[in-house]
Amino acid sequence: MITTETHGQAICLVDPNMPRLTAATATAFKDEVSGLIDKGYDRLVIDLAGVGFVDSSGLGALVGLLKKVGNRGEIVLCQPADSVMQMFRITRMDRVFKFLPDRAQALDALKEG
Amino acid sequence: MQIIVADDDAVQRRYISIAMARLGHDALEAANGEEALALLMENKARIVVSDLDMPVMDGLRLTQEIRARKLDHYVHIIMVTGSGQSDDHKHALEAGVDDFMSKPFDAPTLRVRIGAAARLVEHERQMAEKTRVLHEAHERIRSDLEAAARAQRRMLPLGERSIGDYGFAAAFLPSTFVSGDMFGYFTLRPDRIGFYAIDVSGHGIQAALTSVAFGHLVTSEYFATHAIGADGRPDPARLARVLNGRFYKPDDDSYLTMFAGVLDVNTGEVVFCQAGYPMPMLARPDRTVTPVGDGGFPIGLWEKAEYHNLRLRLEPGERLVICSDGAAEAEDADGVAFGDGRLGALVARETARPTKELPDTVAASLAEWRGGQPLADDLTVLVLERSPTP
Repeated sequence: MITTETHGQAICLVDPNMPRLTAATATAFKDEVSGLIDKGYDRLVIDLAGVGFVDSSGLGALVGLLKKVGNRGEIVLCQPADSVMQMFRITRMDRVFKFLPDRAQALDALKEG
Repeated sequence: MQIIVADDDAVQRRYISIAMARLGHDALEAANGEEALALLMENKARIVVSDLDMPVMDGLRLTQEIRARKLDHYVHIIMVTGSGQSDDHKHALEAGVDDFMSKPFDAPTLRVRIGAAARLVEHERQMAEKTRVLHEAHERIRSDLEAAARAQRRMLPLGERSIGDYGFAAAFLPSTFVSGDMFGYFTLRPDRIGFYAIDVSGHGIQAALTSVAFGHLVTSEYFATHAIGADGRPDPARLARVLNGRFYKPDDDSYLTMFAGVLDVNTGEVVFCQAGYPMPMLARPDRTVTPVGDGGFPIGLWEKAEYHNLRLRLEPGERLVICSDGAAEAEDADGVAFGDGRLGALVARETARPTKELPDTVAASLAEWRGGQPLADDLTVLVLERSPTP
């Protein structure tokens, strides 16, 4: 179960609360965050600091969310561990997602934007 | 329901049988345990009402004999004991008796005891039927999956093959029956070889449907049409671009990673496009191993993805070792990944051994790392070698 912290009408901080975002967990994670987007929270910070492993399904779920918020919204990721970051680099998704070092900076970026 | 009534006292036996008939059951009479056992083997009776004391074979022995036979259904045994035989109950329970009735018994007691036994037997029959139906369904699914797995393997150029000075060897291990991996290689023109390996996100049947569809789509003609530019130059990035257009769907999270290359057999030059696939390793005879590529967008993940070509030269005796992420991500019992480091060291150690052995060696090392646990993700190992100069 993800935990969330809303900031205003559209901004929401999401903690996946899972050490691994994989085929086993990605669908449930995506469904939960999709629910938030449906409620109008389409400016999201997803904190990946506690996620130690993301597999291909996990990446698919994150990109699926990015596709869902589309041009209306924005997703900022809090910098994950280097091993997870490698997954984003090798698939070039480091160029598609916006990464910031921590929650405060990520939230500031969304509030300014 | 058939019920066996075992009692050496003919009057008592008759009394019980008539009571059973009144309850709508079909009593089969036996004068001792041996006769009861013979009846049980010949008929479908699931309930035995047996006297404890009988000549030839008593009720306790009969119970032990029934339990020892490990029948494919349960037999409910009700033991009839005289007054003052309650000490025998413990032994009888240990032998496998389910219920007791004391003599003299009356019709109402008999009715409720038999009613309870009949309910249990009926419940057991229904459970057995459900189990049978589930087992049949499971067998059908398993045999379907095995047929699908065979069909998928038939699509792959497995084993060892030589094309001129170049040799291919491969290992292909689905995590469950069918795989989201696929690979292929073809002679495009007398002096060119095209090859690819893909890994569909996730694994299992859904991923396998995509990988098989990809395998049927990307024939040698398709590869030659799209991975060679209008000017005749190799352009696997163009292939990636075409495939991205084909596999991208706005409402679908699945995608695939690909490594595709075009080899010039005369020069050993490989023009390749790395579309999110793990970096292959270039292994030299001096045991140095270097990763190849700098990453790239997967196929079907991002609509505006851009693709580019890179080049390398495969010198005589050098190998290109392509492994799906199932290799580096394979975890041991403590959750430690095999990792690129160990994979590179393994490939380096094996440089002196024949290319054809390398894919199976990698698979065996991963199996050992997993400590006997099956792989959690599909595995492909594809090795391309240029023969050493004679």
